[in-house]
Amino acid sequence: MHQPELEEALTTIARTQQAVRRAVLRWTLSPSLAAWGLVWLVGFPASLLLAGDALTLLWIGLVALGLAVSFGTQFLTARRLRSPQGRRHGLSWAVASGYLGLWASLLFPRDPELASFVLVTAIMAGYVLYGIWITPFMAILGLFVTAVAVVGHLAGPAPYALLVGLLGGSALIAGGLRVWWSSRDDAR
Amino acid sequence: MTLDERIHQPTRLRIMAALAALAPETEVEFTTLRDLLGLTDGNLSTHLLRLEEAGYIRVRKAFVARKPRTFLALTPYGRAAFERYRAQLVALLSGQFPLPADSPPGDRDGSDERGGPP
Repeated sequence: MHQPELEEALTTIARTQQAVRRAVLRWTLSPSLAAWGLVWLVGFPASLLLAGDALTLLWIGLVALGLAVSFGTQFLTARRLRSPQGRRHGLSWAVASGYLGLWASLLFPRDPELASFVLVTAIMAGYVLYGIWITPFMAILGLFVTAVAVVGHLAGPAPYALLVGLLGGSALIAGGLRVWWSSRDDAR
Repeated sequence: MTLDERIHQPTRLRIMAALAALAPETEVEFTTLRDLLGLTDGNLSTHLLRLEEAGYIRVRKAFVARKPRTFLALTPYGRAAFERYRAQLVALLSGQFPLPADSPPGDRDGSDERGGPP
């Protein structure tokens, strides 16, 4: 047995494990990131153009789209991978989303912009925590969008809607595409 | 120091590495692993059988949406064997131990099956 053979074995382990971790991220994260990015990209700027029932209906439709993609992604992932941790992760996200929805619905009638800011930054806190535990990329994305939201919040409602919609939404879409493209066929 | 030839064979090494990259108790569906590693059904099945015989992986059959599916997971014994194998590789490459002698040709294709799970 020679040294190059052993080095090759170690390289194979590293390459294979990286490819598997990237593939799992692609299945679990990529479609949801892109879908929610699209929701933000359309929804936030539309808040400046629409009002009343039209805006409410638009947001209901967009959120329904985001939720459908998120749940669909989890459903498809569960056909590929099954683990007790995965079920707990999914349940944790569902519980957090439920609480966020509750807080946002209470805050929204009093201050829609503040409700949106709390919702966006709370979701980004989740991204940062996900980044700490799973992949640093999500922490970077979460911190970036948080910074965008804070700047927008300080600048006022219209800049907030534009910044979070255009910059934040685009960052989520770019993040989803990056995760997707970086993991194509790299385990073979 | 001798390396575990049941793991050292290149295809089985990739299978073990892939399963070890997942959290403990995580199961992966057969066709997903096949596509990830770019293997054929037959090739993957052959190597999975050897790893299952060694007690390194667990194979579970289930019906998902009325279709039969096969799920695979590393056993704790298999995970420990893989970590031991990787530690041995690092130790050998660091020069702490002399490199093992060349294995007989049969070993690399898995004919050397020693022992099993406790």
